[in-house]
Amino acid sequence: MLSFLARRFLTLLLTALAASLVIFLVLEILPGDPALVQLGVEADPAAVERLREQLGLNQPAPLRYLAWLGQIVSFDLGESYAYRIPVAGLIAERFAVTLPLALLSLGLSTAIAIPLGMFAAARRNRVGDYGVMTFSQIGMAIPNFWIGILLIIAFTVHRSWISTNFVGWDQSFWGSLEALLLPAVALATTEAAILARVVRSAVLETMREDYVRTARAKGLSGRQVMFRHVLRNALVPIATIVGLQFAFTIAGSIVIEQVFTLPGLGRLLIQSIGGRDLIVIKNVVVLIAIMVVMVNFLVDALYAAIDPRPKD
Amino acid sequence: MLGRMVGHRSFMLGAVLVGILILAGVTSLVWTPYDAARMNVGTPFSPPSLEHWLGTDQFGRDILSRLMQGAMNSITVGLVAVGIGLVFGVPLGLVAAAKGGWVDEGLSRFVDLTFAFPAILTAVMITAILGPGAVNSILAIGIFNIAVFARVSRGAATQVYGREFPKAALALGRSRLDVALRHVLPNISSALIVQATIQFAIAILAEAALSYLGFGTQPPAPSWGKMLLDAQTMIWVDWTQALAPGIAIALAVLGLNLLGDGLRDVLDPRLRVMRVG
Repeated sequence: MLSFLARRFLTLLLTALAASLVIFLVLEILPGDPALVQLGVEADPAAVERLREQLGLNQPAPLRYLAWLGQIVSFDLGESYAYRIPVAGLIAERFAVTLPLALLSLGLSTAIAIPLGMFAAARRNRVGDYGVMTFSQIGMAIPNFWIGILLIIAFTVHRSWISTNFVGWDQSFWGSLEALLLPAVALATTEAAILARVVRSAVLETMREDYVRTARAKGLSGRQVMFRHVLRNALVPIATIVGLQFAFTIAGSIVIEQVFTLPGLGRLLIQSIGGRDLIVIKNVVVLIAIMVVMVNFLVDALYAAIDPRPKD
Repeated sequence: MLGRMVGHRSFMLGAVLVGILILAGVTSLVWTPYDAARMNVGTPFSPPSLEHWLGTDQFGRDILSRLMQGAMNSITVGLVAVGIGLVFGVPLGLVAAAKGGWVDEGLSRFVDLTFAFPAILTAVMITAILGPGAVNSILAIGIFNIAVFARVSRGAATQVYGREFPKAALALGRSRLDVALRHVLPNISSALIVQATIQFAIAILAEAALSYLGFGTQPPAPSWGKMLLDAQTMIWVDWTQALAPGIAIALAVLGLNLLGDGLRDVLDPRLRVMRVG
């Protein structure tokens, strides 16, 4: 198992490295000189040249790539062109919105989907099952940003029941949490709809196993069989999907933050595109890519821990 | 087969919804009730009426006409993005399954790498380079689809290559290309058709999200996502503007998903469908 994990970890590092290279190359072909963008077209050519020197833009591309990797490892990412503050601090501040939002919505969707999926499996091909599956089909079809807009209409337009104004964790913890609630619900709906189907089929598959029949035969009640044997074994495929959904929740938060004007990573990314703030764009994108591959690795590790049978 | 399709309730519902989507989109190429871009064909914010079935927006433009053109826009993006995925992804998957070894390993790493960039992220980077536009959403969703179809066809083709008939055909002296195209490809077509339907639905959702962000289809071309963005700025004046485009997206995606599930039930109930995005 250790060699499996070591191999997966090596893959993680290589994928993250490849991702950073792709981002670097893609942004490298970007037309436009960052120094010129920062100083304006009418700037003194000598000043532009000084800034190019200062930003390290005169060095060859491979050296700049290596320098960037060094920056990522040391968490010293340089200064944002637009905000004139260190990028690392800026990203950390925005991350403190996006990560709690993603975790809250994943928690919500899992808490909704597992009971719904189990209920549907237990009532297979009966009214309850059809009800859950219909909810799931509708949930998968509705775009989450539209749910966000509808929630804004329902809860803030005619009466302000729930505030969506994010004031910052140090200002008001509960107020900030309240502001994340509606965005998290919007994000969670789609994921819960997908997850409920996965839970249902994982539970149905496990219910066909011999040990489930044995557990029934030795006289355990349906509830005991369901929670002690079925759910525990069905957790492996469920955990895999929840891990995958983390990536899509982070990606989805880019849109949802825009809907609710939450000051998170996604909104930072969108604003940086408007301002051509390349240094912010490349670091936010690489951070998201690294998070996605890291979560995939954690899922593999968890998988190995739950199911000790040797892997391919 | 046809009988089972007609008897399958969710398949039929899906087929009807997708039929309406295509009909609305194709009709918009030759006819819409009003010129979709023209302002003040009705009073701004008029409710649904006999003249304007779905009412008008803040500029007095006819919402039904705009929805119909938006349908064509979604169909185009979906078709091209799924097409890109099929054209590049399926050969990759077939080669990986046929060769195995480091080729297969290499493909898996490529797929992992692509999945590290959800379509929205790719679109953000492409927009940073090329500026906003419909081509961006097509490219971003298409690149993601290459990875999806590569993985699906690799998985299905590996199973087919493990059976006797491809080996027999190779032993009889058929070329590798011949075996891949004549024996393997037809046997993975069910998996591809079902996955293509699902990816079409996901492409419509992604295109809507991207044009909502302002990265996708640019005005004056109507797109459902952009219509929702415009509607959101108007919710204090008339919140009902946010209804029609959202319902249109949801019905189109629902139709394609139901069609995909129904096709799977009819073609091969044991198929595993990948749902990411």
